[in-house]
Amino acid sequence: MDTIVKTTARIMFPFILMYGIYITLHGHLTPGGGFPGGVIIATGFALLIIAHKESRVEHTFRQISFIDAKSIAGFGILLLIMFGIFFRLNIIQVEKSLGILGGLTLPSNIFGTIMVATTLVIIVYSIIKE
Amino acid sequence: MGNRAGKAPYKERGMMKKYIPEKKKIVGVLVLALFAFVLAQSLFFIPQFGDLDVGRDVSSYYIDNSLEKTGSANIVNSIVWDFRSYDTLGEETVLFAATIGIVLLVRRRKI
Repeated sequence: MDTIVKTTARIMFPFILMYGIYITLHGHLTPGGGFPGGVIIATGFALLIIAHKESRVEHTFRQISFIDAKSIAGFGILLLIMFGIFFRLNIIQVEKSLGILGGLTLPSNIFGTIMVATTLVIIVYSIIKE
Repeated sequence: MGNRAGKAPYKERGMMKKYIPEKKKIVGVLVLALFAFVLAQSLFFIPQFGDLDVGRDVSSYYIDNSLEKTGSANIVNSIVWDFRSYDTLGEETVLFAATIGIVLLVRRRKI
């Protein structure tokens, strides 16, 4: 790709990442949440992968590390929902609001974001490699 | 010899198609009939056209109680991750399966 595209992608990448993390961490207070945040983060990675050479991006962000993160996040979601099923009647709930932390919705959002983002990044990696 | 050996599986497959066991057929028809019966039962619970009372449904319960029950001010998020968490668990399973399938399908070397 062009120098312009490369430079723009390199400059915009941290801001896209930051916006995705903001969408995730505010998911229980404002519109947003796990799925939109994950898609935005994956968009940043996809921009970086398409603008630069794939091998150069993989030097920093390896595909196997995404798969590791995905496995850990999937186990976390399973654990959270099993926790909810075990202690409450098959829904994750807390008795009263925990203020700005928002109960168990925040860790669920974080794990969901990691799941969605890693899914899209792995798919983009696999298709670009082929 | 080779020709006959090549023909044999086709013939066998044709024979197999003729001899589906009767028990299997009866069980299949019974399962389908049960499924149709259960589906037809739910037709009686559909409200009349224009007769829907939203306040009677579960949605008003979500609107009233989502903040106290889940501690999340965003009702959509509380439904997705708390009240309907089984659904979300299945969704994440679909994502996981899709990723594994694509990685196995299009990989060229060991990752």
